[in-house]
Amino acid sequence: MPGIARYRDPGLCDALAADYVTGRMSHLCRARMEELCRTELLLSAAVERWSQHLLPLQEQLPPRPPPPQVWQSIDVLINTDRTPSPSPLWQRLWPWRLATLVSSLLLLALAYNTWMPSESHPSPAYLAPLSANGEIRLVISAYQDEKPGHSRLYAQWTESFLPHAPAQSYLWTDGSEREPPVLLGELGAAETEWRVSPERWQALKRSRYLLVSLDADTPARPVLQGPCLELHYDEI
Amino acid sequence: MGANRESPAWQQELAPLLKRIAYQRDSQALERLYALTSARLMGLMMRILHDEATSAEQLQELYLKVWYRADQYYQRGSPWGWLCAAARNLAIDRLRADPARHLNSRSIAPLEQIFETQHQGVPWLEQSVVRCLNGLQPKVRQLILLSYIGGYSHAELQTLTRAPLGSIKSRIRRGLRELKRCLE
Repeated sequence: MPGIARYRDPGLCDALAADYVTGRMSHLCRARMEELCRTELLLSAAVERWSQHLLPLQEQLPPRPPPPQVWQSIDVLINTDRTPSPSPLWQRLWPWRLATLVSSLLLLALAYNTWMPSESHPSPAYLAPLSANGEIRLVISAYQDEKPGHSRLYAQWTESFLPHAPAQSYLWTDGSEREPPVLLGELGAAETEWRVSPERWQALKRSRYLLVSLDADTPARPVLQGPCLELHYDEI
Repeated sequence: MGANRESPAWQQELAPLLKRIAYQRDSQALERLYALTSARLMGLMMRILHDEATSAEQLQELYLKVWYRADQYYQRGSPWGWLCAAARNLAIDRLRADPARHLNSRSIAPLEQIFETQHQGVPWLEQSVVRCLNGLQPKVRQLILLSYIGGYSHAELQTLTRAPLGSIKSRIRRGLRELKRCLE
């Protein structure tokens, strides 16, 4: 029989299960307990028993419909991830993934700058590849204009994501301790171009990341996010 | 009570839905799971977090966890219990990340009120956990409810009740032992 001998003691298993189910374990203890439950049958049975005993109390709590934006955000996030390999949310933000995104975009920017003559096609001052699940879904290009209020942003969905692009979403700066996130503009399901005020342009310049949310009031639950890169051009 | 009469039916849908999510990456299954459970789990999180925006944020995280980790539900036990435990754990972790806000925003009274009023006229409930909880000393019952439903840690219970930590732990443990004897 696999397992650790001490977890064959019904009394111990019951006490641990009661602590686990009533939420009296630290995060680390809980993680260990969940790991043990995969192999220790007595322990997992005790957890199941305590859970079933107390579940009727949870069911007595009044239900509360969540805001509709919650499902909309989930829907966008899961529809960007149809690949078979599971990838938890936190893994999507790992530095190596970001590094891959950044280098890809820099290559794109370099190619763009090489192939397009700067006289006829202005180059973006900032470029932001926004992604979900490690896949770029939207690219924001920011063009600076000397005239105040004439600087503009251009949002373009990637070809593969276009059918899933939300009808309405909102582009934000990431904000900081000193500055709250700034709404840069509203995005549609197709490519969008718009002018930004000098204040918004300054906020964009200060932003390390850009975020897209489905909520017009807050970027607290972003569905896309990515670094905002300032591009450098050698003067010819 | 209607909610209890319907619960077996909707709960029976959950295991097949989790299986479809885990093995077929079926987003319609997740949508159905969400329709069946989100309001209940939002209620559960609100009871711990007492803040709609934070609860909604954690609820989103929960369903993403379900999307990516449904395979961890290993056909043992109740899927509804698994979802409730996952929701409670997320809410508790969020709460403990910001302990100052936690203690300022929560009070004990609503938990006892819910417990006192909502079980009346529900025979199956009166026969089980509520009857057994009623048999405990009120202070002990309160500590168990605050832990289980309100997500209070031992240290927070100590702050709230001004009782010694050791006494809180032993009361809860003794209460849970009595509860178990009664339930089984």
